[in-house]
Amino acid sequence: VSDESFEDMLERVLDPAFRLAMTMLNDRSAAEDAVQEAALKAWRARARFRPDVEMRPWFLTIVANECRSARRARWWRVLRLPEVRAERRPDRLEERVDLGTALDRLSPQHLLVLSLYYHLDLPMEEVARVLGCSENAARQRLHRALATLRPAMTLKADG
Amino acid sequence: MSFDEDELRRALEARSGEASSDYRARVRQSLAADAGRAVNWTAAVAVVLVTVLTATSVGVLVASRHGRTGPVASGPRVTTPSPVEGANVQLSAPSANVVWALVDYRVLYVSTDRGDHWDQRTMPPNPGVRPAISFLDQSEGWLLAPGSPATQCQEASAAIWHTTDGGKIWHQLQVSGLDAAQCKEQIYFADRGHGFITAWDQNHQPSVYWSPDGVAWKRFTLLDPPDYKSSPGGFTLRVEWIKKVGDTYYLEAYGEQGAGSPYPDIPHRQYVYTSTTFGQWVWRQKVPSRILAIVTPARWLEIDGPGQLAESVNGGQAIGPYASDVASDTPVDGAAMVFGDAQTGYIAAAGTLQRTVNGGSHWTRLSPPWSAGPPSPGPTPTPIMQPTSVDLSAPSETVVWAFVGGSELFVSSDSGDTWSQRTLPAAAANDRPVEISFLDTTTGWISTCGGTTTSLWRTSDGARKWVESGTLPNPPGQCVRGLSLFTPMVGLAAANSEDGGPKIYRTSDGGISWSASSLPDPPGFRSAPGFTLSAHNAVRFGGTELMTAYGQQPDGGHAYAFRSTDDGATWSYVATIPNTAVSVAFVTESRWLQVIAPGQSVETTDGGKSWHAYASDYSQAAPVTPEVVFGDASVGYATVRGSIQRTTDGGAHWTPIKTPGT
Repeated sequence: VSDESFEDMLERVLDPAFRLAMTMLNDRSAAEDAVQEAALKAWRARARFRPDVEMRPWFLTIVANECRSARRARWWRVLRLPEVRAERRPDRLEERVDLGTALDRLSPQHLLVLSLYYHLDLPMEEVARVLGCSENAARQRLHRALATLRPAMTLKADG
Repeated sequence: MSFDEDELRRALEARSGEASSDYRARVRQSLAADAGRAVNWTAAVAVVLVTVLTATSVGVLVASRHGRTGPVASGPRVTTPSPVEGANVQLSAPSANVVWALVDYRVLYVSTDRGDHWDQRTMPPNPGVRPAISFLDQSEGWLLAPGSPATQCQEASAAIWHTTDGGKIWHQLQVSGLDAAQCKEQIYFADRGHGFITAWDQNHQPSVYWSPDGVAWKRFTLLDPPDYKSSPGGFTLRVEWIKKVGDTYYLEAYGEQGAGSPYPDIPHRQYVYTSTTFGQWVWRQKVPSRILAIVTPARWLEIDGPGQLAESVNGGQAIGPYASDVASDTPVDGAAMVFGDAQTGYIAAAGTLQRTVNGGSHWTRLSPPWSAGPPSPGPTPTPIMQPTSVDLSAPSETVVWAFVGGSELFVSSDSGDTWSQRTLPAAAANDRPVEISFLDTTTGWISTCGGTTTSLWRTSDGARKWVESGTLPNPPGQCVRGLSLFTPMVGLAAANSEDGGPKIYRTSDGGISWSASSLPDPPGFRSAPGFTLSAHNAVRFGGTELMTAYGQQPDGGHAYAFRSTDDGATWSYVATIPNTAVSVAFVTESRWLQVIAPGQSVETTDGGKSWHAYASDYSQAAPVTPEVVFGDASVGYATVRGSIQRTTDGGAHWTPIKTPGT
C-alpha cells in the first residue's frame, strides 16, 4: 500500500475512530490526542499493513488501546463542565445524564464493546475483530457489559 | 429495537462528537511530519503540532527537525492562572448606580444602589465553562458562554446570550463570524451597536471580535507590542478587559515572556491598546499593573501592590503613588477594579467588595451576598438546570445536606421539606467541588478536585465560611473520593487507582495530616493492574466503620463490604454484596439495604451474612440505580436522576421530595 493510499484509508476511518474515542474518554481534547497518537502508530506500522486486512477494525483496535492508556494516565475522571452544544440538544436529557453517569462508571472493556456495537453500529463480527476475540466471546462481553450497566436492563443484544 | 436500546444509543451519542476539519488537517499534517515531508512548514506550525501530541510523540516530531529551540508548550488544559483567595467576581458597572456581579462564574447579582443591596438574577440555561458578562444598564446585557476548550485553547465554541429584562429571560443569539479557533474569554458592549469578544490561545496572537449588532462578528488580530513577541508555548497575550471611555475604546492585554525571549528579565507584562475606529486596535503603551481602570481619558487608577493604588492624571504618561484608604489586604492577584463613572468605582478581591464614591481616595467595604454567607437564604433561590446530580449527606434524622449539580449546596433541618442555600468554598478556578460530608447543621467537609490534588475544606458555621484544611494527592486519572467525616477531627477518604488498588486515607486532626491504609483482597478476588478495588464512602456505627468497594475481575464485577474498628487504620473483609451495580445503604451496623425497584430490593439483617428479598415501593424510571443514605434507622434518602425520594420507615415506603434548587 502506498503512503498516499494508506493516508486516504486512514482518513476514511478517522470519523468512527474519533467517535469511539469520544465515547471512551468523554473529553474532546483527550479524544483528539488519543486518535492522533493512534494515527501516528498506525502510520509507523504501515509497512506491516496487509492490503487484504480491513482498515477500520485494525485502526479501531489501536484507538481502543490508546484510549485505555489515556484512561489510566489522564485526569479523565475529574468532573467537567458541560460543553456548549446548542445544536445538539437532546430529547430526553434526564435519562441520558443518568445513563451517562452509569457509563462513566463502566470499565474500559465494557465501555468499548458497548461503543463498538451500539454507537458505531459495527456488526458483531467486526466487533470481535476489534476486541481480538471470537464472535461468541464478543457477544458474551456485550451481555456482561449490559448486565453491569444495569442488572435489570432488558436489552436484547442479539448481534 | 427496544426502548432501552434507544436510551443507550442516545447516551453514547451524547458522549460522542465529530472530528473537525481542522483536526483532520492536523492529523494529516502530523503524519506528513512523521514521514519527513512538509519541509516548507514554519517552525511555529511545527511547534503547534508538537504540543498537540502526547509525550511519546514529541521525540519523533518535527521540533528538532526544524531546529526550534524555544519553549515547548505544556501545562494544564485551561490555563487561567487564578490563585484567588475569595470568590471569583466579575463586575460590570454601566453607570454610577448600577453594578452587576457574576460570582464564581455561576451566580449573577445586580445592585441599583451602588452595591448596598443586591438581587440575584437567573443565569442562562447553559452558561458555558467560564461565562463573562457585560451590561448596559439594569436591564440589558450579554453573557458569553464559552464551550470546553481544546488543548491549549486551540479551539472552543461559544454562545452568546442576551437579556433585556435584567436577567429574567435570556435569549441565545444566532451568531456568525466567531471562528472555532481560540478560547473566547471576555465580552463587552459599549452600547447595542458596539460589541466586542476577545479570544486567545497559547500559540498565537489574541483576537478581538467586533460586532455592530451582537450577531455578526468580525475578527481583528491584536498585534504584538514593540517589546513583546508572541511565541508558541503560552507566551501570548490575553485581553483583560475592554471599555469605552469618552470617545475612545481602551483594551488591556497581558502576557508572559519566557526564557529566550528578547526581554527575559520582566516575564509578566501588560499593555494598553486603544481604538477610535470601531474594530481596529493600536498599541498605546505598557503599564505597570494588570489591575488598571481607565476612570477618565486622563485619569487612570491601578492597584500596584497589596493595598497600594497608583494614579495617572495625564492619560498614562506618568503613573505615581496615590493616597487612599483602600483596604491594606486588597491583593493584586485576582482583583477586579471597575468604575461606573468618574467617581463611583468598585474593587472585588478575595471575596470582598469595596466601593468608592469619590474617585478612589476613600473606600468602603460592602457586604454583598457572596461575602456575607449564604446568598438569599431560603428555599430554592437558585434555579438549577435539570437534569443534574445530587450528593446527599444525612447526619441525623432531621438534618440533610444536598450538593446539587456539582455547584449548589443546600441544607435542610426538617428532613428535606424546606432548604436553605449555603456557599461553597472559593477553590482555585480549575478545581471542582466533588463530595460533601456533614456531621450536623454546622460542621462538615467538602472536597474539591484539581489536576493533581484533591483539597479538603472544613466549615464549622454551616457552610458560610470554609477553611482549606489539607490536600491529598490524586491517584492517576482520578480524584480522591469517598469523603466521610465521623467527628470534627476524624474522617476518611479513598484514592482509587486502576493499577495499585485503593488507598484509604484517614485523619484524626481535621484533615491536616493523613495516614494511608489499604483493603485486603476479599476471598476469590485477586488485585492486578486493571483489576483493582474501588473504595466508596464509609459510615460509622459506634466504634465500627463500614465501607463498600467494587472491583472488576476477568469474570465481571464484584462488590464487597469491609469493616474497621480502629478509625480506618486496618480493614477486614465482611461480606460480598449480591447486586454489584447498586450501592449499599448501611441502615444500621447489621441491617443493610440495596434499594433497586419493586420486587428487586434486597436486605440483610445480619451484617451481610445472608440476604433476602425486601418489599420496598421505591420506583425509578431511569436505568440507573439510586444512591441511598440514611440519617438514622428510619429516615433515609435515595437520589437518582437529580431527584430525591425519602423514606421514614427504614426503606419500605418512599415519597418524592423536591430537589433544592430545581
